[in-house]
Amino acid sequence: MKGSYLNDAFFGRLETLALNLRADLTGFFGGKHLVKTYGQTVEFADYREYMLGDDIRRIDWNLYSRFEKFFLKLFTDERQMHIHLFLDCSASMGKVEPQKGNYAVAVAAALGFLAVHNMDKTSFKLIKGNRVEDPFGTIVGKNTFFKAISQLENLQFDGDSSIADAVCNCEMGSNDGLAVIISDFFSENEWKKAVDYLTYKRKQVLLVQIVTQDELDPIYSGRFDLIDSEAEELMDSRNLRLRITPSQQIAYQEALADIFEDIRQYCVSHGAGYLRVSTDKPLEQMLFSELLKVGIME
Amino acid sequence: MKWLVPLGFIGLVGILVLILIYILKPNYQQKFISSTYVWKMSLKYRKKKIPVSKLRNLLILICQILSIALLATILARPIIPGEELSNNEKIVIIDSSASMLTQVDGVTRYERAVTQVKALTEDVLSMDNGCLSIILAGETTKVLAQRALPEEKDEVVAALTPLISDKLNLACGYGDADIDGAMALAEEILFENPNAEVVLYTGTNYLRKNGVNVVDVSSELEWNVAVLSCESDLVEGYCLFSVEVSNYHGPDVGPGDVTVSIALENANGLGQTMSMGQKVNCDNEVTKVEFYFADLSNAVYSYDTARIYVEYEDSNMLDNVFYLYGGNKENVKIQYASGKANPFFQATLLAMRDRMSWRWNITLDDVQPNETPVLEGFDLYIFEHKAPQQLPNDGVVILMNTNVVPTGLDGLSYAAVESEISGTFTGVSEHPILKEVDVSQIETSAFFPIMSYDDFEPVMYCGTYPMLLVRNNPAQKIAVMPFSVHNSTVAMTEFAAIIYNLFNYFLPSTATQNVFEVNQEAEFNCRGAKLSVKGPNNFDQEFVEFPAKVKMEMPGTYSIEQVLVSGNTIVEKVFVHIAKDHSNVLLEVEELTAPVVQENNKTIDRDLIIWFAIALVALLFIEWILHTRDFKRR
Repeated sequence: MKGSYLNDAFFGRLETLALNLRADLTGFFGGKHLVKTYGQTVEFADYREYMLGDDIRRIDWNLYSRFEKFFLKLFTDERQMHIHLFLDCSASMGKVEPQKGNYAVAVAAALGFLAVHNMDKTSFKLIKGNRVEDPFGTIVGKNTFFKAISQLENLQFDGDSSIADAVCNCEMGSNDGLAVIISDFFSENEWKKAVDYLTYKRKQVLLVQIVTQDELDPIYSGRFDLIDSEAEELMDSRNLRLRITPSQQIAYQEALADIFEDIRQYCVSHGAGYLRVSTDKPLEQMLFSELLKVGIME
Repeated sequence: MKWLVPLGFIGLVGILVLILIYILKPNYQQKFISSTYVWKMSLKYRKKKIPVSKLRNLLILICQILSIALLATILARPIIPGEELSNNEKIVIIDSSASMLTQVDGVTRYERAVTQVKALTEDVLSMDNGCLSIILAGETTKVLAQRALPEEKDEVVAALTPLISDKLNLACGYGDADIDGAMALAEEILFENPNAEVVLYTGTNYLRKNGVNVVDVSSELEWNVAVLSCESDLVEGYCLFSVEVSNYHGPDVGPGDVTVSIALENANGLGQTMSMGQKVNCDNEVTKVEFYFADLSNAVYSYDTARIYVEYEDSNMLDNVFYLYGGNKENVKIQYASGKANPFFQATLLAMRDRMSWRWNITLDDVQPNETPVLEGFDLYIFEHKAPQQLPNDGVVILMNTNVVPTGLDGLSYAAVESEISGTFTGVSEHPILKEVDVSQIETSAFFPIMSYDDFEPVMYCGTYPMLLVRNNPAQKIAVMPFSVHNSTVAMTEFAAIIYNLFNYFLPSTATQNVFEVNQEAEFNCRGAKLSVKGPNNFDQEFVEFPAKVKMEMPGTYSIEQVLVSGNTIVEKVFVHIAKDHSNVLLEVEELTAPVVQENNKTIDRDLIIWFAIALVALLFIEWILHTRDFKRR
């Protein structure tokens, strides 16, 4: 798979952007994300009374002269985050329509680039079946990132996937960054478990739904044997024999709208971000417009 | 509707094929999609079929079926067949001219024609699609039956019967046959049915019949000796009669030489009848025979009636005798009374007498200035310079240069003194009294101005004063000229013309000729109040407006009776004869005017293919629209 999105010009435009993560996250190492805890930066944050065991070098003597009490001067802290990019690698993401896979990879690469560009860690977690593959490990720094990207371009979308099983079985820290699930979400509600799990892990969650124009507005009508890209044989239960009539198409639109609304409602109720992008729209538009709207980017 | 290629309906099999396609159509195509998840979800959302959609699908199917049906219909070449025309329609024209009265053994051509038409009626109207029209071609055409159908057979036969039921009074005319008019009527019927056959029943032999079926109702036994015309003239003072006779007959029929006779009644006014006869050979050609009454023993210079006749029992008795009337000139008495001797006026009257001597025997009576004019016994009274005390009431009166109104003359008044106003005359245009008179050349230097002239018609003026007034009613015929020829520049020719015109205006000839053809319109003038015309077959008409126009439809002698102003009654006669051609029993005519058959659109098949094609296009368009709407909904 050779996407047309991943090139120097594309990444060059991303350098002006940065991820905007929640402040209640905490990381282990210093980074660029302002957090709620007090740290060793030069930016003043607050005072508190001296307690036994505090470093006396941090006592503010000016205040002592006024109040004859010991106060410590507190400073803000900035930490490094870990961006987990879960990419649905099932057949539905690119077997029939490669453009959809390219688009998904490009979105993942863009977010990953934003992470390493802002001194965060990132990791591409490929959901295949009910497990997650992490072929590149934790990526810190652009060199490692670009190596990973060059391999990611050759990603094959095949088989089926279970987002919930894959995400829930994935080892990850808690409260240390952003988890992005990139999928079409055309599956039963099992992806909700993944969101629940990530929320439980106190991750900032973002769902990116990739859909094609054909999925948004199928223009075919008549009698069809609809073969699901994840089906292994013709008699697979996922395949469907259907007479597509105008009324059926109306029902499709209603079902699709309900699916979208369900995802959106669920994300809102769980504090997760939700972004739906159509592959017929330019990727730049998604990055510079939709992600900004969602607030995940600044 | 009719189909030129009924095999085209095999195309209707396409409808069965279409239905089969609809039944067998559900072949499911395989389509690979990313996920069937949404489609499966949509099955839960699917509602009942939208009725509009169902209706649209049904409409599409109907459109397709109709399109195939129309296509098959177009292949079958639909037409609306033109009207089917009957080949058993006949248009009968019966010649009703005088020649059809030619008879043999008491049966006329006309009777034979009507009898044959009756038989034809029976034949034609016995057929299912028989149709018959009968046109009588007399002086005018008459349609006896128009496109009669078999159920009208009895009515048609009943209409034919009276034509010949009265043997002495057949419906046949004595004039010409308007064959052209009959053919024009036939054309109207032929327009409806160009297949109709035109049948003409006549005795005339047409050399070129031009497609008309001419049935000859003449007989080989017919022959006719005819006096065709007669003219008289005075040659060296004696009567000369030029008579045209002919002996029409076929081989071995009729006489050889023909004897033509003439009898003059009241010859020379002596009450005697002078006769003369000649034998002449005039076989099948018009021959002129002259009778000149100049011998001492039978010299004739006037007569009442000339009867020219042949005594044969031939096939047409209408032309065996010919009358010539008017052999005597009528007497007219004129009294001229003048207060001063006027040779100018006298010369005018003498010139008029000579000029009219062919028609009138005019007697002029000059009254000398010292004599008293009489007031009765003349047809025309002329008073110049001196008006009479009493107006004569038995003739025409001309008052010239008088200023006294005679007793009995109402509505006229003069000025007290003579006017010396001079001026040029003007006249009423195209008045018969001013015929050939140039009034602009006349001037006068003195006249008696007329102040009132009730019931007079002014004819000439000088300025606003009338210079010639006329009153022409049955009671009074008066002309007034209030100027003197001495004081005017009127020339002899102008004045003579005025007097001549006044004479003809007040005393016109009753008829311009004494011989007429049947149906020729005659004009009769009257010198009195009324005029009546009596003729054969109880013909009797009375006229009070003149000239009276009379159409005499039967041959024979007609009497014209009128009462003059004087109260006297005069009777004149004219003779009406049949046209010469009708005497010719062997008449041949070069060409018969055939009716022109005009194209009738009713008989043309109307091709409906264009309409079906339009309907097909419309259906295809509707189907396309339905499909398009279907697409848009997606």
